[in-house]
Amino acid sequence: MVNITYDACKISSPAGSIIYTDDSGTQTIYQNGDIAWTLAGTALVFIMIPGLGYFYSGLLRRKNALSMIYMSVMTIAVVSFQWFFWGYSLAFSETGSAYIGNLKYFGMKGVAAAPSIGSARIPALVFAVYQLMFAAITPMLALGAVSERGRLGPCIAFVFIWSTLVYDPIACWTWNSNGWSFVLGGLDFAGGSPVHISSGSAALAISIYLGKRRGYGTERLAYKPHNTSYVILGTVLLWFGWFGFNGGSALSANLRAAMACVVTNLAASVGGLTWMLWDYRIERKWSAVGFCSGAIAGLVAITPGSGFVGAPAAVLFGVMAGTICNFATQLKFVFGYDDTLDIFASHAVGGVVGNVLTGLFAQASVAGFDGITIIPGGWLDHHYIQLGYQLADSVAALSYSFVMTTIILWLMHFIPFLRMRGSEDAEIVGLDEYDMGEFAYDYVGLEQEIGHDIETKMSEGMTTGGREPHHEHHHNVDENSLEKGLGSPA
Amino acid sequence: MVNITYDASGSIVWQDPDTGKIFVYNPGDIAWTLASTALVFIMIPGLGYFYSGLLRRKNALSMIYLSVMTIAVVSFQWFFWGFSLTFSETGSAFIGDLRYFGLKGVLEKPSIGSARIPSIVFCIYQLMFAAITPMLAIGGFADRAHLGPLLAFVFAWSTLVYDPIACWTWNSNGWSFAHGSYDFAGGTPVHISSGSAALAISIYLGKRRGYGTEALAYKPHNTTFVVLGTVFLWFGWFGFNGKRTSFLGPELALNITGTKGGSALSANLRAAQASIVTNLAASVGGLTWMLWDYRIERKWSAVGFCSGAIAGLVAITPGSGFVGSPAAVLFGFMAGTICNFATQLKFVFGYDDSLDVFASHAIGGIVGNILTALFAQASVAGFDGFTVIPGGWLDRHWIQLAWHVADSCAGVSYSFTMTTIILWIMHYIPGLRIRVPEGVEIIGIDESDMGEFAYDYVAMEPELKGVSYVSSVVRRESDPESLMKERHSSASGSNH
Repeated sequence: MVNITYDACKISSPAGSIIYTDDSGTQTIYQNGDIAWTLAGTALVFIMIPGLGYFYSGLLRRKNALSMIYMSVMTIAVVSFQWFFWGYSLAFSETGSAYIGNLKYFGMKGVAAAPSIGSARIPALVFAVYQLMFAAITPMLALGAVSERGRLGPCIAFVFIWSTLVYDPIACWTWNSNGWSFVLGGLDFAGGSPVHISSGSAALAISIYLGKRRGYGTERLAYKPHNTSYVILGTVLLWFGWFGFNGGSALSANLRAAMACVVTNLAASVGGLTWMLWDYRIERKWSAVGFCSGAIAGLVAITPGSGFVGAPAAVLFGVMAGTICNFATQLKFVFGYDDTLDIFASHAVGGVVGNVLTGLFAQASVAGFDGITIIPGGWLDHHYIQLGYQLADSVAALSYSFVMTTIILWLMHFIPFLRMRGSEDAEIVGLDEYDMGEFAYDYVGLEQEIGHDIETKMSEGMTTGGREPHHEHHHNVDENSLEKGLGSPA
Repeated sequence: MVNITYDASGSIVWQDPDTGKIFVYNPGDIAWTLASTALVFIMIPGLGYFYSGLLRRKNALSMIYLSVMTIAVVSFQWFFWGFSLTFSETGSAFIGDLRYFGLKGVLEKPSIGSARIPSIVFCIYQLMFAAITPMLAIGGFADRAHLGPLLAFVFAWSTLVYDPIACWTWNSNGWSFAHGSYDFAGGTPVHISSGSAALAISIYLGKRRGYGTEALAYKPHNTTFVVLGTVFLWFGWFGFNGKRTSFLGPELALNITGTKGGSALSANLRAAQASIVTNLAASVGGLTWMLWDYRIERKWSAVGFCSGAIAGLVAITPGSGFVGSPAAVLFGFMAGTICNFATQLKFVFGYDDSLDVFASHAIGGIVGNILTALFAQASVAGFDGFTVIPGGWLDRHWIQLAWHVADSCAGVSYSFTMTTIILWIMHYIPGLRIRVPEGVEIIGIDESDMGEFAYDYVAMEPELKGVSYVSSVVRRESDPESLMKERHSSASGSNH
């Protein structure tokens, strides 16, 4: 039996608060409301992950639609196991180093009623399951970069390894009270560095390692989301869950959580409108995909600052993210990498924008909304060195994630069945057919993919999943008529 | 540092420096309110999918987009002045003031809705109500409105229609609140106002091209979207109705020692009861409407079920904290019946309310208001342990019906009139005119205003079939007169 009791009904206190007594006799009281909000936050962050899957899926071509949705739930599964196995311990053990935890909580042994390292207002077990969802969403953010040209089998191993070697250390630096960034005084409420900068950098590393998709630069790959309603559905699930992501990071149902919800919603709204307005000038159209991208950029930027900034600052976070991330999508053309889903632009650049703005606009008064937290604040509090801490944080996460992800990918490259790059034929046929044997829909037209000028290399032993292995394609297809979706291939 | 402390059990304690009064905030109340905030949030895209599924494929994306656009615009408007205009304690009986402009000062003081939660929690929760209401009205724009001007419309309408009506109903200075109307979660501010606005919009915009012909016969392009949207709405409605329990009626004394009726946990009985009646009304409403439709074609209509569920949810909204479970069954049955037949009003009166927003929300809201007056019970309101009301007809408090009728009439007329005024003012400002020309209606809002479709395959041939002049129509979209001349002289004889 865990060593807790319940207090008696007292005037001006709720009956049934949990009282935990540790070995030395010190008592900690846990408010049920705090636990309730954190557990609700757990479910909210959970649903962001399939939301990501739908968001990414809608932006790709139909033949790869299912792979992204599948990867989101696969990631939840792999990280849930990894977190239980050693992930929580490596990130949040109180007895580790400044860079990584230890295996004290291997298999979640001993994680129970003691106050968590994140906040003494909730027990460690609640904190562990809540943090699990953060650990689960981060690799999925990065995995968007394998879109259309990765191999799904090695992705499973990649998620496990990347979580252990990249996410857990960076989370430890940021949120573990021993972590060097935490000790230094970097302000990161809900994960600018561990979640967004790390995954954005990793996505860049993956994009560079995998190289460009087949047909890159041609009309075939011109920006063409196959299902914009999925893009919006994914954005909606992300935005919905973000109330738990930022609001729940208060680890308590208090004023700071409420303020985090306010600034989160405001940054998303303004970010969406800003990006959409920037896109309006190009074609005089109101772009839903632009709105969604901007909303997500705003959410990314406000993430580190959500427990530190006021509502007017949140408006600026939205404007800056919606603007800078919009233009950052052009970086891939400048530097020549194929970041299909603009993850580096939204998450790495967005995370850096958020970290920097947090350094400027963090206020001790807002952090103190929980009645407990005391910080020196940011530039508004004349604490100018804060920007330095934020930059240190950002640069460390950017570089560590990029380098370590590249190392992981190349190690996997030389292990026979773990190579991440899909073959050209896999790209032609699509990941859904090639790796999954299932499609997202009952109609996925492949004729226009297969029957055109670039010859299918049958001689390299390609199989089409056992279907018609000697089928030859004689289609003389009019590319233009197919692009418009009119008529049928000859 | 905000001036709060924690008591021995961990509840937040704030002392008013002017009066010395002590307020205790229970984290459980705050947790449920924040969770409900997220729940109401997701109702808004749910609405977008619901509306989208009922329209044609070429306009599918616009409705979904409008739902997230509305969240964004109202979130900014609420921060800017919306919360202040609605909920400032120092305003008039009709509208607040700008005391909380930019949410300045909105933090730890007890909210005007309930002394059990701080005002910042109340603010973010109420924001979601403010955000969903214009989206309900936007259903009236279906198929024939330019998207750019709607950004301005949402901002203006929220400020001039929603904020005042919400003030009357929920601000303790509001005239409707003061005379004792029971509107638990927004029959008037949310449903009646938006339904009436949708009617005004439908009348202003006129009928869609092809109205009355086979081309526009009721034909939802994606019924799974309709169900998905209904599901998000029903899911979120637990937060919409279920949360309001903490909001106290005018008779509430700020009794913060919580000794009435035992521990604070008993206050949540009202939230639980609200959840029960909400779910029951939705269920019975859905089955009722679907059964009424069954008699027509001997088919089980999913769209009928969804419409009925939503009608039931709309009707139970004002009464959810006041009525018992048996009454909720009646709410569902009445809403499922009356709103079903109310969809015929548009044929009787000749307006094109494509999505039946007036039938579901305005009529549904009125049905709910009236039934609340009949079936509200002081005993149910007292489930939170401190609310005291005279009750409705079941408690022999006959005048309650009059208050609710007054409330409903005020909501219908004010919203209809003000919405019409807003639309006509926008009509005369260049760039803000909403009505699209015929050519844009033909190719669809998604293509013309967004440059994106909801799907990668949106067949345009059925739309363009027989319309031989379409390319010239598109070029001439800014010149409707010449377009009409060309159409009459063309021999295409299309029925579009």
